[in-house]
Amino acid sequence: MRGAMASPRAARAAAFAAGCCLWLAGCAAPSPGSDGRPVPAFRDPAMSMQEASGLVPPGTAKAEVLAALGSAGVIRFDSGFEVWVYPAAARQRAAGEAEFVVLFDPSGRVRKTRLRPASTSP
Amino acid sequence: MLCLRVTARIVFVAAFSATLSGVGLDAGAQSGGALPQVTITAKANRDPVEKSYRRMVRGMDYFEAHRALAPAAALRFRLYPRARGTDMAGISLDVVGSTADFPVELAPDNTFTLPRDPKALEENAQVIPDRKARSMTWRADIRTPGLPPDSRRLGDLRLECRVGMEAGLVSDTDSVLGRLVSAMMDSPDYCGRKNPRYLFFADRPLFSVTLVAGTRREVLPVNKLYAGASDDPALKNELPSCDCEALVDRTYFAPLEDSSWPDDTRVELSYMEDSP
Repeated sequence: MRGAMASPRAARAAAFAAGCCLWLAGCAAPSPGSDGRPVPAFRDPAMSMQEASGLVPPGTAKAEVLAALGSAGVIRFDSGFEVWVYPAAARQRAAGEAEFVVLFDPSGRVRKTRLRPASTSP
Repeated sequence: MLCLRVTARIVFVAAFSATLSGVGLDAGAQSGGALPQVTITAKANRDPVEKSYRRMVRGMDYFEAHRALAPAAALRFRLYPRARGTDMAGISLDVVGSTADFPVELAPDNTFTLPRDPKALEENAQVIPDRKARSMTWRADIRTPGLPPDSRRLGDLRLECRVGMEAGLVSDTDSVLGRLVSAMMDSPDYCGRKNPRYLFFADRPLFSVTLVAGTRREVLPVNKLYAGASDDPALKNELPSCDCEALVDRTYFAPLEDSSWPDDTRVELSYMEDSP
């Protein structure tokens, strides 16, 4: 995911120099799939996001989510919460990309999920 | 996080004239050996997280001139923690010039308004909280009353960004290059550019942000949350350069420049943890 979605270096340098809230910074940590290559939507390429949503109800453990859906982009927070992001496959990406997002609580269980459908922007 | 409360009033009460007069000193020394009375008032806030009073008043002027974006709202400013562990309770905030010196009352949520003071303007006073530099950050806080809970109004956010830029709330960098770039971007016009990277802070850690305008409804992608962390996980080490360091899980970008979303667009915030 990082490689596919990273900001241009020049923009990063300018933003970094600008500092403060004009700068993007992340507490995200590389994790399954965040090795610079696009993250596939799911382990099973044929799986829809609606199907994925039904596989990981609240209370599901991380290992079970990983087994069911595959690797994700991960954002970790100091609070212990984690967000796993399953974007649309690279070939499907467009301005209105869809994504499936899983929130883990500090105990490592699914707290919430959400599905972002493709944009409906005019 | 170390949080210095170093705003100290060093006051030696006494006759100011004595400080300027060698005669006075001599007289004091000769009359029984008592030390002359000297008055020195200073606020020793080393490395404070201060802002220009003039710039903030400019922001207030901008708000008045552009309040059509948020016609029912009032302008306040707000302090947020920037560094982890910053003690945000009991903050003392003062406007300090060469002679102008008055306190500013903070609400429990650390919002405040600034009075207009001609002397402070003339003296190019500073707005100084009793916290160390880089421990806190500042934002304009513009909220239309009567909105549903956990929601904001896009026009309010647009004006927050513009007032914040005009008031100089967001430029905070130590490097020469940073100041140079910041100067180029330090304008309300920045908020109308494509994908402005102006961070908004929610009250609690966010899970989702949804725009709603009439029947149109759109969830913001995750790269519009968490200061864009999902776009660039390798930036973890640069987090201290972001004024979102302590609140990254509360941050989001709004489509300020996208005129297809009207000012009355409702920005619905969904949190990681539901209300108790």
